[in-house]
Amino acid sequence: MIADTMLLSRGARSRETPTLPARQDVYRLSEDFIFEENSGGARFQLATIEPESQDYVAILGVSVNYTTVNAKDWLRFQWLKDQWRNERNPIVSSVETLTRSKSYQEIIGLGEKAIPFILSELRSEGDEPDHWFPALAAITGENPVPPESRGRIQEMALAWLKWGETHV
Amino acid sequence: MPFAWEKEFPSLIPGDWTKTSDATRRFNCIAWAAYDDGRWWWPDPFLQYYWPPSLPRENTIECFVRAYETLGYELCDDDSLESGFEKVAIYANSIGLPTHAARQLPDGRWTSKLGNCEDIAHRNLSVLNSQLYGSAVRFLKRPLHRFP
Repeated sequence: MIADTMLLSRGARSRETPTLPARQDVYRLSEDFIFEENSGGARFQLATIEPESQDYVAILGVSVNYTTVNAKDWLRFQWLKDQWRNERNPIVSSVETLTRSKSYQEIIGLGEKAIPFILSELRSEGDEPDHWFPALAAITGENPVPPESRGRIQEMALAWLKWGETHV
Repeated sequence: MPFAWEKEFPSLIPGDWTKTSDATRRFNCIAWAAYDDGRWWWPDPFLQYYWPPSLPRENTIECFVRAYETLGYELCDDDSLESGFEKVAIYANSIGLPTHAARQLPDGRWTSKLGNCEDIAHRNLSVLNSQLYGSAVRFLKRPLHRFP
């Protein structure tokens, strides 16, 4: 069942990025059903949930610096993200252990395609950003986190989001 | 069982521990043992997380010992409560990789931040012995007057 917050009628689109359902199979998306809409300067990426019914759309996320994302990549990222969070042990402190999982490594393997998705995650996670920083550093080969912000996850997230404004 | 992580510690039984704060990602066990509740400490190769700047970023017991030495700690023999001193303990797994750190409380109990989860006060170090954490392998102490 798709959460109501995910669905928006065509006449009542919201700027809110809805909570994403955990199950991948509810989307039933294809690239053909991705379209974009500019609204008030922000660009939303929208997709029809059910091809046979054009009454509902889902917001895939506000694009990062107007980068167009591929729906299949996005779905793959969502699935890997869920896998990573389900598989990892939350009592681990080791960054190597946190990022060694197959799903996290596959996210890194998505390469630059993953960057807008990761940045979107960082933005949505607010005060408690997750450990996306090694992935971003591994993919980009860059490090916008100043020495004084190392380990301060909110500042690290802000540094990467600022980096994204000029690099994505 | 109120916390999913309890199953990770076969020696941890009710009464051995108390939760002392809510779960957060803002800091980890290594930081917490160093009285830092604002940073995640780890010597990652990507220079994302905090590590004392004067030290190599190596995931070794020796490097973790040196991290606490930057705070005035010195290696000691055991985890006993010594008047006038406070202690930290470094855990390592079966292949010798650092996994966890705990700090001794004035009453002889220990305090640990569990990864992304809560921090707890626990009766002794061995209650956290586990496949994931291994066991405490190094002990360091410093005079209490150096309390930050």
